[in-house]
Amino acid sequence: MSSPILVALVVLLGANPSPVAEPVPLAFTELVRPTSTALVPTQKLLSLKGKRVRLTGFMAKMEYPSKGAFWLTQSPVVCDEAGAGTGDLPPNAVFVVVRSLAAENVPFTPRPLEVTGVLDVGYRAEPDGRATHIRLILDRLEDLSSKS
Amino acid sequence: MKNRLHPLAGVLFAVLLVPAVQAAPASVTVTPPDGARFLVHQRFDIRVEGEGSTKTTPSYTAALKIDGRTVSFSSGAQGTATTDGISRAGWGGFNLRGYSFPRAGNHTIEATFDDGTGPVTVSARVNVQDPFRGKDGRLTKNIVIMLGDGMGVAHRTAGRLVRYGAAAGQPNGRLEMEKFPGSGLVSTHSLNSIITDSAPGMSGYVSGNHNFNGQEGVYPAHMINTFYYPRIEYLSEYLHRVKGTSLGLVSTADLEDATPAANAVHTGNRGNGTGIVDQYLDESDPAGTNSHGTGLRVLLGGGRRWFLPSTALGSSRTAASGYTSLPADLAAGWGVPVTVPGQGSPTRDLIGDFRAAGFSYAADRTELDTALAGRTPHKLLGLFGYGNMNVALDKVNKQRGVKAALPNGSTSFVVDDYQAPNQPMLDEMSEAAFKVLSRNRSGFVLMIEGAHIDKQSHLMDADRAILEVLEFDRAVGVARKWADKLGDTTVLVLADHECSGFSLIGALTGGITTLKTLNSNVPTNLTGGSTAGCVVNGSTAVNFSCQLAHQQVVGTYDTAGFPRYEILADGYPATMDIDNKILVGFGANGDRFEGWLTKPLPVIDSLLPSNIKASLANSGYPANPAARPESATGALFRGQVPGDQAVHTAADIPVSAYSTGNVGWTRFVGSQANTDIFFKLSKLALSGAPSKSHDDDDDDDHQGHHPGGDDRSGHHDDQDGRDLHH
Repeated sequence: MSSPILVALVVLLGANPSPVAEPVPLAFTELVRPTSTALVPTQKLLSLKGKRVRLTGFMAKMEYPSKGAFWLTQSPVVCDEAGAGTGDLPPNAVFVVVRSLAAENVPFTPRPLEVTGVLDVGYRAEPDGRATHIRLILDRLEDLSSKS
Repeated sequence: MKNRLHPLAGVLFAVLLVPAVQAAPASVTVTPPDGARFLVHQRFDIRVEGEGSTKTTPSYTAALKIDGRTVSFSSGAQGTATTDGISRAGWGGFNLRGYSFPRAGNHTIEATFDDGTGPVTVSARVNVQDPFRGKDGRLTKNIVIMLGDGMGVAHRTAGRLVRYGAAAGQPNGRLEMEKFPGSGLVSTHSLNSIITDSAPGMSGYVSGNHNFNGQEGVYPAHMINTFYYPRIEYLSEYLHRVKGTSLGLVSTADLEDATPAANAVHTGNRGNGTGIVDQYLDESDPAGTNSHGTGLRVLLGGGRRWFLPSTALGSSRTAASGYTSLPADLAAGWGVPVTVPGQGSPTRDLIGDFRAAGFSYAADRTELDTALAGRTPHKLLGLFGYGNMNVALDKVNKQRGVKAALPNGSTSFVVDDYQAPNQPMLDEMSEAAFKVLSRNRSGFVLMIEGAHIDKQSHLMDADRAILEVLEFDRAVGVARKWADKLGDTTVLVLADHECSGFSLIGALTGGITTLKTLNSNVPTNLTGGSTAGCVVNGSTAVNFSCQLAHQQVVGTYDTAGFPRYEILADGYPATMDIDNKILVGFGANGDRFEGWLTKPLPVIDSLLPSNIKASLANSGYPANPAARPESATGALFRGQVPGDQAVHTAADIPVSAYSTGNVGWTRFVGSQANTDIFFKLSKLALSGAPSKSHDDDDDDDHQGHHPGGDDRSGHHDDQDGRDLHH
């Protein structure tokens, strides 16, 4: 079920007549760092705010997914209703906004994904009442298992 | 305790009396529901509500009688469309907050509700019990509820077999929880289903009332904020008012979650995290007046993200999941503040507010040790993870220096990936809780939860679920040690429900080396015979001459033998992958691929059956097939429920009871409802039970009493008796 929608996403969101910068590869280990008392965004993350980046990860499987978005994590994660539905997300999970599916659930894809889009950093309360800190506005999504 | 009333089957709420006129408001209800039970002086809210007619602007009126006597509401303007101002659009509501019955017996609550089209009368019969009546002997001062979330009988058996094994038909040892002398069974139904979730599964034990699934400490209602729903007083609140007890909550889950919250927080939505954590502090009676609130003095677990201001990375606080004030009559009826500075605000620094209220704070295992190293604090807050704490296997692996293989081929400690590299184990958290709470001479209520038995059972990860049972049982050992030390303590080991239909179906045959080579996607005949007709995943062949490869290695009956696991000095198995490891089936299963090996990560992946043929060869997974997702080679077992997770079941769960000072443990023998537990505990706390004789202690020893447990810090209250009863 997911492959045709992924193809459509790639075509729809990837088509951009304007020249765009090559996305900067970003690893999950480069997003946050601990201090003695808190977790803070890395300098690299902050420097890429508003820029196109590329991450590889897994779509978290949510019992209560957010409309028009999904969480991208370094390793596969399943979230049930515990912890208000997000209790098992790691702190460096990235909230990927899929503009073309604003009012819908993004079909779950269990395989490794490469996402490309514009990075946004900072606290935001989403329409579903959840808080996000690291967001990626999706331009392109690729299912890595389909790569030969 | 017998329920003197026999609620009509299928009737959740009121007996509806509709006069002969055709027009009338719809869905008129009164809470509490028919058949509810309370203690004398136990607070609860009465609410009458109904849905207004759509044909005309409603003008709502209501009247209330208790035992035939007219009683005024505390909120709800008569003859208006808005009534109490907090009912949902299209609904009218009238409330009487913080009511309690001063006398035991059967009582009747009757209400008449009208939206201007015609009155409807509803009523409920409730039973009130007097826990003070009949001084039975020695009072229980401390109540400890050990809650293994989702833990059924088979989970316990699995834990015992892994920890101790069996030989010649006899277990080689018993779990700590199995050494308790009192055994019974508990039904776990909620107010709206035979199958509960963790919210009413916990609140039933500590309020004596059933709640709707997803709700805790409240009755359902149609109101604009779930924190305004009609409340029922918790055991912690009641005993804090009556006896000045303290409350402790310890969990390996995110502290926002249902089990800890359903001991202290009143909300109609278990997911409203900001309001839940705010209420922990704001209704804890931080000044120690003993006139209201829970007396919360210990709060240990995960969920730091809810306590951080929104300016901090990782904060999950939002205005939408909280509340900024309570209705005036609710606050007055319960003696709690209408509002507190910062309440419900995303920018609230709740850790700072806990500290200002006198709580010592620990963010990891080292800080927890430091907090307890000197003079024992009066109050303790520990937040050891941003969300849920990690599972036992991952915490133990960090301590052992064992990294997990990630899908991209690298390795790391799972706890490090969650930015929580130094998490305490549940027994260490329990030890800390007892040290702090035992400072209160008036006693305490303590709930300790092993939260991930349920989570791992949902994921059908048997190995992790069993390790969670072992971690939980070590905490039970700490509880027993402290019950012996303090005296006058009752410890119950319970579950909120069973999860997954966990069943021990046999043991592995052929060994781990062979298991790692199996592939249920290809025809396999392990007897060496022909593979013609052998089934593979997704096959529709009718010739079942040989089963899936991973089915063929399930040793049933005689071939299961007696699996033996090597237990290391830390109390956990060296590995779960032994040659004849115990194999677990799931009677309430979702779809899953099963390889029988310990999964390298808490979740490798959860491929849907439609992706059975997906190739992962080029996706970055390591070449070692054993480290690949089970979907690549495992046996596909289609679920009996939709989706890919197992579900809760309606099976009764076992209760194990232990008490010091009196024979209160005997009250829990036999079959009982989850709400019965509340009334039994209350009676033990307020009228007691016969004292234990020396002979009774000898009997405990004969049943396998195993004193002691690890005090990892080395601190002994015997050496500093001042800390026991300050």
